[in-house]
Amino acid sequence: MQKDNSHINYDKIEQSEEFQSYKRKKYIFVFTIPILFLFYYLAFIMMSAYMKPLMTKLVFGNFTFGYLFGASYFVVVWILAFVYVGVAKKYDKEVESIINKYGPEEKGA
Amino acid sequence: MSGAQIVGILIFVAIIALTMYFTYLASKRQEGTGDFYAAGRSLTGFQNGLAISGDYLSAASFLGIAGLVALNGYDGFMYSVGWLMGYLIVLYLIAEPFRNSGNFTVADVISYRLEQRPVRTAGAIVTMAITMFYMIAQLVGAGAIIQLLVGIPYEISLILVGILMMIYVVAGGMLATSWVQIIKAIILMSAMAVMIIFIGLIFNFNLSTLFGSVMNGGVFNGKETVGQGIEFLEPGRLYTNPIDLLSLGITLILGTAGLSHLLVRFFTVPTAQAARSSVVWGMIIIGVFYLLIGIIGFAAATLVGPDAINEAGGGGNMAAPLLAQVLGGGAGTFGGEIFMDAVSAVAFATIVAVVAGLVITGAGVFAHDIYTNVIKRGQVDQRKQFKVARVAAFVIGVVSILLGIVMKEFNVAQLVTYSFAIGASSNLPVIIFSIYWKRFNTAGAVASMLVGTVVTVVLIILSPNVWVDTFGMQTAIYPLTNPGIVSIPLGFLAAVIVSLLTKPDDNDKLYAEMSVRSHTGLGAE
Repeated sequence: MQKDNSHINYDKIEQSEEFQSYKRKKYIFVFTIPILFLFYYLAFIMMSAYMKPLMTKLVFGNFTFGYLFGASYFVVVWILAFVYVGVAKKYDKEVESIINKYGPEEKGA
Repeated sequence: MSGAQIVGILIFVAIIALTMYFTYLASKRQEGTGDFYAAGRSLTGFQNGLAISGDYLSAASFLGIAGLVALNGYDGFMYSVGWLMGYLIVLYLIAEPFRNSGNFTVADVISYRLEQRPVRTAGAIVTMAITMFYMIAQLVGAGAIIQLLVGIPYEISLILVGILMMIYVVAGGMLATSWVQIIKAIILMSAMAVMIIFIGLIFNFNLSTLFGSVMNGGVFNGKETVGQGIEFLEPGRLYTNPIDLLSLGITLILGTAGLSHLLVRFFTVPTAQAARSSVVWGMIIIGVFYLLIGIIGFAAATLVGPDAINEAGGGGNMAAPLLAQVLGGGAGTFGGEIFMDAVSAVAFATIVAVVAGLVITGAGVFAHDIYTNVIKRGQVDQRKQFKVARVAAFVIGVVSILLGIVMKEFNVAQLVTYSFAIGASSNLPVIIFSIYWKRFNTAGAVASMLVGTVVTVVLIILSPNVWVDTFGMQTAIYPLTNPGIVSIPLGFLAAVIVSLLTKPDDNDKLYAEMSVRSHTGLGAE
């Protein structure tokens, strides 16, 4: 069952400048957005916990601020999902060129 | 037996027959362990996205959130928000590298560059704890639903669910389970759409009118509704302690990325790109669901009313079926009974699909991690491993049915939150650090998993829900319902501190391999 990966030189790829720079960029992106988002989400929780009058204030129709604010998170998270897909496509291309340069023979060197 | 009840049972039988047919097809295709655990990596991104939704939208989401919103308004809505937001972390940090570096189980990923036996053993304990709490929640929902639907006792209902899911898992493996989840996701979303249309007809498709009815009551298109004042829209009706609300919020958003049975879904697709698109599809479907379930909860609050919901059983779990009864024409009418039975049948299908996914995850951990890699050190033929997986599925099924009988009175959404707490405090730190942090080592991983799981379970036992309500003590030792605010930081801290205090594993070669494999997919299976 275990696939034989002995023909791939992982050390060489890991130490290559291209891979290191790709990893650095990717790490910054994939950590920054979720951490910022986490704080943004905590704002919602904290406001729900400690700012009851504001959250229960009617904004328009019979909607309170709390429900509208909560619903806005759905929109934000969908937008961020598509942002990720866009950026990840660029990373796919970068990975492809790394594999082409350092990868195993059959993937084309 | 009334005519409506017979129609209800027919709907119920039809759903089961459909899923059984797929199980039969899948069982003919199934050859090796790769098929049993990972559906032969044959699903597309969209199919897996549907299966993720089918897996995630459990009894807790459908029955549980509808009930929490119907009884408590805003605090129930917070579950909706938190549970979708968790997917952002799955998408950005977990899905792709996870898919690239594992084969069948979570432990494949976390033990990749660490010592196999201790990490796999600790990982197995974590996954078992998560799946058990999750499963009990589903079974509690199932028992209540069947009792309502056909009037057979709760205990017998549980055994019925157990037999059904055992057939899916043992005969059809992950492929059948995935298709059961896909079908169920489609049926569930359709049922919700029908309910929303009926609600729309009453409130003239105006959400503000529905909110107004919840506050002030009134008569809308011939239906009298219950008004509960603007207090109903206030936060903190369920969690009166703000810290508890905070603890819940953190648990909901971080827990999703730590749910073992959800993560193994990424092994059913062929590539990281397919894993990525499956999360996005999942986020779209699940997001729509969580917006709609809030509307259903609100409609139940005003059309059914809190008294009738509470009367129908513990935790508000029956709010959605009762709402269907009112929408169809009310109790005793043919339309009302049929609609309620149809919605109950859908809820039942929901539960069976989720339970099948849980059991296959638990069985995989036993057979692949514990039996094959820890006990036999990898020297097992597939046939034998298969047999162990099936026996494990059986044992897990029996144990959780027994636990389900004991924990009858809990709200299922709250029960499931315990799984999220364990996932966030023991699986999540270990998965993130093993992918992204070079200095992370075996001792750190084992410490984090044990601390996270033990602290969470102990705090659950000491919480008001268990210590006071179940054991009958005077005051709870741990004052909050949700353990997350304590257990999640402790799980992360244990991973960091123990890793830094102990020597690094001598694993540079494996680290390079995992790093390249997880971020490029090179050599992934």
